[in-house]
Amino acid sequence: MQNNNAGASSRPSNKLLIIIISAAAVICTAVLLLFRFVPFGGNVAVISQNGKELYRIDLDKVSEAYTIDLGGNVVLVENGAVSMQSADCPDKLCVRQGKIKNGSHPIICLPNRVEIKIENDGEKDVTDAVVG
Amino acid sequence: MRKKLFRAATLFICHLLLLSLFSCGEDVKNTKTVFAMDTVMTLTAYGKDTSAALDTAAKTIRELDKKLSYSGKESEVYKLNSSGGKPVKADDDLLTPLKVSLDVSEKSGGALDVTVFPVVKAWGFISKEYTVPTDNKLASLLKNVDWSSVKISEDSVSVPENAEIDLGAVAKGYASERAAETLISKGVKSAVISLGGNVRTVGTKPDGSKWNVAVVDPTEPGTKTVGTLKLGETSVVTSGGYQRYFEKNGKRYHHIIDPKTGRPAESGLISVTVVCDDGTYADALSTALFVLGLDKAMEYYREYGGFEAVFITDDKKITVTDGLVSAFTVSDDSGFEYAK
Repeated sequence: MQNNNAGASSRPSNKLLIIIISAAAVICTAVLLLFRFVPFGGNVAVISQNGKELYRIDLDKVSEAYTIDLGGNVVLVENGAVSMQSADCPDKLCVRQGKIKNGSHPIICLPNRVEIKIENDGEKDVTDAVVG
Repeated sequence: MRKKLFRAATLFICHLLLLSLFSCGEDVKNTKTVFAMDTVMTLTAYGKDTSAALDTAAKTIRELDKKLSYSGKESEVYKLNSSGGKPVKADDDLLTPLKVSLDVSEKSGGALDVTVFPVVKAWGFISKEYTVPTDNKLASLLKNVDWSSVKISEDSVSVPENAEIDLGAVAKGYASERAAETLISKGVKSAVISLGGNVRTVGTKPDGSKWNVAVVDPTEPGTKTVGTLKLGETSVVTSGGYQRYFEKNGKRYHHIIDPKTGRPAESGLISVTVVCDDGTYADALSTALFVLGLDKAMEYYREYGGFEAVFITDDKKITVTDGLVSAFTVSDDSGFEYAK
């Protein structure tokens, strides 16, 4: 340990050490709490195709509705909700499902392998799965 | 003094570092999406190093998809259907789901029937070219619908020449069970397998609490849920007419065919959610109980047990079996209420 140079200056140095430790403790705790408990956007739409994530959109931050063209499918993104506006698949189940928001069943277009789901990471009582 | 302080500080910082490491480790979430069995499946496992286990589980599911599909070169079901009535050698992947189906068929008086497949095809639920079959057509197809005509021996199965089976009502449940086995054998302690509405959980959440499984509102499946189940390691499967249907001349025809009538079941139930430790049974039961209707389903529950259920009737009433009363919570704004 490098404490051999302790001498008359030991008091202010101790003070400094306490400050550094306290600061480290506060920062570490803050970071921990941030990662564990603070929700990163309560209502995030995740759009993927062929199992690959293409878009991740915080629906609470959408101020004006817009569409995303995925080729065979057009996704409508609105404040707080997302839906499949159109699709070139035969049964149009995905379009018929309408808007989804927090806690809903994901929208799936099987023929085009598109999936839109809502994630609400960070919320304490989060839904782990949906049956239906 | 300073030495002590320094030691304390080092310890404290190490402690924090360890804590943050651990908290990250247990919360690492790996997911894998699989397109199989006519649906999208999401496998989620918690903990570091779980992604290889997920890959193996996904492989298991894909193999089962080929084996248990009604068509395709590698399909055991197709081989059986085209065997001309002769016994066909079968392994556990065919025998187990088939045995479960036949057991539920027997106990439910034929409310689930693997031989109803030609009728399901006639409605267009397989080709997605939907039509309403004529009464004559249905009557002639129903002649060959009889689950008891399927004979099972130790390692073989036979299906009469004029009959055709399909394991659509149990394949996903069986696949979820096999996927869970795979994950557990690879050391996964915490996972959720979601196969297009069939859910199989492994262990508990990483923090030891129960899983929250939401049940879809059958009247507004896209946007609302009826309530939430708090569950440990188990299987949950919902059957409902809203899951697949078509409309013709203003009438809605759903995909759960009553093997007695050859028509979409009209039992007063709009969804049945079964919770059962065995995913194959959960899958088979949800279909059978939907066809039976609330009263007969409750009779089945009292007589055989082995599962719990949430029934939703077309008057927006919820009936929950005794074992789920404390696990189920109705959503505040659902508009559904408990039946008296």
